[in-house]
Amino acid sequence: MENLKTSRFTSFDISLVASLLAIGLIGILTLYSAMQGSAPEGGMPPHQKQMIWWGLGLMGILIVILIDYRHMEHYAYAIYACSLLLLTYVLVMGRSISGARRWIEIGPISFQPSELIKVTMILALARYFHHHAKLGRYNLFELVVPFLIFLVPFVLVLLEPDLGTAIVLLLLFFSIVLFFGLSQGSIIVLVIGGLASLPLGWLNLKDYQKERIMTFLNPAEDPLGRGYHIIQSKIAIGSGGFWGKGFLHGTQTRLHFLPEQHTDFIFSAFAEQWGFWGSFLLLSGYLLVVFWAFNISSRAKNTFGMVVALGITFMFFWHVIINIGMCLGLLPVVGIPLPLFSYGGSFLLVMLLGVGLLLNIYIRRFIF
Amino acid sequence: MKQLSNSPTMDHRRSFLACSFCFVTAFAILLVRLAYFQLWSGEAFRNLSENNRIRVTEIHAPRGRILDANHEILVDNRPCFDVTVIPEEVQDYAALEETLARLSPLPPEVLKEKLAAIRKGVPFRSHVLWKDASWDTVAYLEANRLRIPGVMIQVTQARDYLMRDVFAHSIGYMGEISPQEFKQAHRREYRIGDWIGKVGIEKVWEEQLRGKKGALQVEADARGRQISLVKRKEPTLGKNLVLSLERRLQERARQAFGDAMGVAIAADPTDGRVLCYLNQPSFDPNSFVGGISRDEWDSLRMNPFHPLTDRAIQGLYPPGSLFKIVLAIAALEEEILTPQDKVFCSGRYRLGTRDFRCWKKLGHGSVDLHQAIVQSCDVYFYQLGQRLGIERIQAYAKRFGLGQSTGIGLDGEKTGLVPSPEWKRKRFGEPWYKGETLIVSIGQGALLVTPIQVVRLLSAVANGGTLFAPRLVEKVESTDGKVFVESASIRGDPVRFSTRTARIVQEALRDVVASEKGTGKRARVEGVAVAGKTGTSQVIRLGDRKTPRHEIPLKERDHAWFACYAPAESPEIVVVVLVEHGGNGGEAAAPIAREILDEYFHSARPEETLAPSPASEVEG
Repeated sequence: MENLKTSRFTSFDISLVASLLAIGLIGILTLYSAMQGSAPEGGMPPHQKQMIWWGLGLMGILIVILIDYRHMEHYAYAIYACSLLLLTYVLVMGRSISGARRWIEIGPISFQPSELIKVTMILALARYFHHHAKLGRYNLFELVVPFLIFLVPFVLVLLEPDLGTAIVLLLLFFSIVLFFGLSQGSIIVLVIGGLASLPLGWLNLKDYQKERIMTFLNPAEDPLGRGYHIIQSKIAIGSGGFWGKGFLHGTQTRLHFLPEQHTDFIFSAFAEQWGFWGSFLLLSGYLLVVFWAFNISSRAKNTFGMVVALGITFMFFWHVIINIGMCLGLLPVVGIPLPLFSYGGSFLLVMLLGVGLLLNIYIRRFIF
Repeated sequence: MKQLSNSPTMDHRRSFLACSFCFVTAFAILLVRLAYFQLWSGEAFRNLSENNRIRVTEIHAPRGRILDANHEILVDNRPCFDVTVIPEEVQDYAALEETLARLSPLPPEVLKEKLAAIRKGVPFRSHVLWKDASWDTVAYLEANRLRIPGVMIQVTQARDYLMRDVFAHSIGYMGEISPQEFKQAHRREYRIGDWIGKVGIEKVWEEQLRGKKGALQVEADARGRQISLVKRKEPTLGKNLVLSLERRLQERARQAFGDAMGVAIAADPTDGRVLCYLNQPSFDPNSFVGGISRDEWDSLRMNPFHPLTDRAIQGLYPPGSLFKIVLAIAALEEEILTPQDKVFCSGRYRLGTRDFRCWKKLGHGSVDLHQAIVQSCDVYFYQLGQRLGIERIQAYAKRFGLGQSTGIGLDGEKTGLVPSPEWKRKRFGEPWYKGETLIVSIGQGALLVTPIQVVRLLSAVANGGTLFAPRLVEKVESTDGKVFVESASIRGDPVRFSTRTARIVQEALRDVVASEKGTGKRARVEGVAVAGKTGTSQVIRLGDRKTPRHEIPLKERDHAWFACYAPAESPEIVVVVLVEHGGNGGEAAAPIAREILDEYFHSARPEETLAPSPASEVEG
């Protein structure tokens, strides 16, 4: 069976794990700086909580590595179904926090199933494509099942409402499908269908979500109100200059001009303090992680492994691009956190589980 | 047809290539944008964020008002001018200090200290140097604004204590936040230099009274003129407090007190609402508003009459004959006697080799319980106390809330002392003597109570057995009248005694005021039956006093108590008056209580003048 006792650890990519940890460490420092001067809302400060989640996440990685991913393929649908159940559970039973029902609370820990579904949906899609591998493009009929795999959690997450996660699911699904290729007819049908459903989608958006999109389209219209986030974020990033203002010396950050500076806008807080060189290194780090993950995908030994690694690659990619794009005012403000950086336990845990899956596939790349 | 190869990834080469291209492109776009912000226009943004062009000013949140039970304003806010400094705009600290030293009410060394602290503070925020600047200062600074960059006058609000010294102890005052308070407080809510409630209701209800500060983020030019508004965060108004105190009662009490020192408290015995809470001598909380000067503070602190002390909760006095109420209830409940049992008072009571005297040297003759209370016969209660024993006396005193805080919800309340043999052993290592039981029986000796404890005790006697926590705040409401906290329906602790006991004691208390022989005659109010009890607490113990009263030095004169409730048949108000060194309760304290009762029951009438009291035998 597994003849890996030696190669498992020799083939463990130490340098990349180290760079992940480095990103995490900088993330915690930035989190600490972003919470400077805030009232402790009782209990542990966020950066300490985040460290505990890191600990949990690293243990999670170890557990995930130990189970051969080819066994996971067998249980992919079951795992997916479980996380769907959790999603339904929060919708029905979850406590509403500022208008959204996203959290499951177990004692002191609260967890968001909507984060978990990102990975489990990838597993389910991977299983489908594994069993329906073919050469050439897929047509729409062949994609009915994967579409349903995507659609159910997408709708549940939208109902919470968690627009950010829903967008991530959408992007993940289309990235994977486009990777496999669509027949031309299918593309035309999809584009027309998509355009037709846009007004419907617009009507279903919450008012604050509509406002955000309008603000994105024209931030100068209302600099005091809706455009405030973007303007403050731009000022923070821009004022960092080349060298940055130095750790804990971000004036924008310290005075809390930045909204959500420990979650969605944490990159702005980082860029203010570390400047262009720091941001450049961080971006390079993320690009490295994306290509490392992508590389694992390209060397996977079966389609399941390839799609899982691919999905996780896209997951990293989209989160980084959308989050930083949002901080830079390139994309509308949607609640999409920055991987390994933003405050939030469930998100970090799921990202690290993703890393675990990647390592799992990586160390088994020589097995036939 | 191509075949699926055995490596799945080989089949998707083109996709992999395309994706790689997308990844690189996307990151490149981010990087270009980043470079555009941080390298190309970094300077402009830096100006916006740092070069003092974005300035934050706080928007003061008006503190809640404090109103009396009839919604009359007791504490209001008034506009006030603060002298503030924005460190980043200061060019020459030495020159600034020199200019300000001429204007500032602060001593030079304090000014220096404050400026040094401000210099280290957040550069583009305004830091308060001193509050409530005079018109001259404001005019000078505004006129010379360009010559002294960095100084700004800010309009905020200051407390205006409309009733001056009358409500000083209950309402308290505010002061600059101390380093310790700052450590304990919510960091985001306070900054060094902020004001916070220091004493009394201002302190205890700080959370409700203070609103939440707003902020203005403005873009300003180098001269500090606003160019544009970047962000405005509205302040949240503080909530108003509606007290149970009534202004007119309190003012009448203040008038009645004249120059005397002491306490007058009135409360509703059915629920513990405090209607009047007067401490004399007092101070004017307005002197704290602009920051109190050291001299003024010292003169308040060193004053031999302790105007800052809240005697109602912090003053400890022997209850004197007021304690006979507790003893009478204890004796009836323990069935030590029947109301008809008589004791012969010859003016003295012999225990062992010692004589314990009654205040009336010639004695009361043969008295029953009713007469013993009405005439406050000491001998009767010596004998009663001896039969009860100190343990039972102590138990009943505690049952009536003595030796415990009343829960009035003000800081620094004292619990008093109910002595017991055990306490004495621990405290002095000495055994309890029987004679001490006798002394405690008439409310002297080591027994110590606060005036507010007496209010609570007498309320329980008046309402037939419920101890209520006295309370000063009735409601917390927003400016538009929305009620947040309502203190009504507070449940008290029961003190069990039979209705028969209650009736016997209540009848006696009524005759204390109503009967000709009663010690509390001077508390009579037209048309209302008053029930009460006088008391005198000895300041110099057990002295065989031969000197006439007016020759005793003030500090050695006895304290005068009077505690009463009315109407006797269905009590609405309890009044407790303590006059420090006033001499005797019936003479010094009862007339003040009468005034308060008169105000309560006949407030619409024009004030009556007190007829000079005929010379009468008084309690000693």
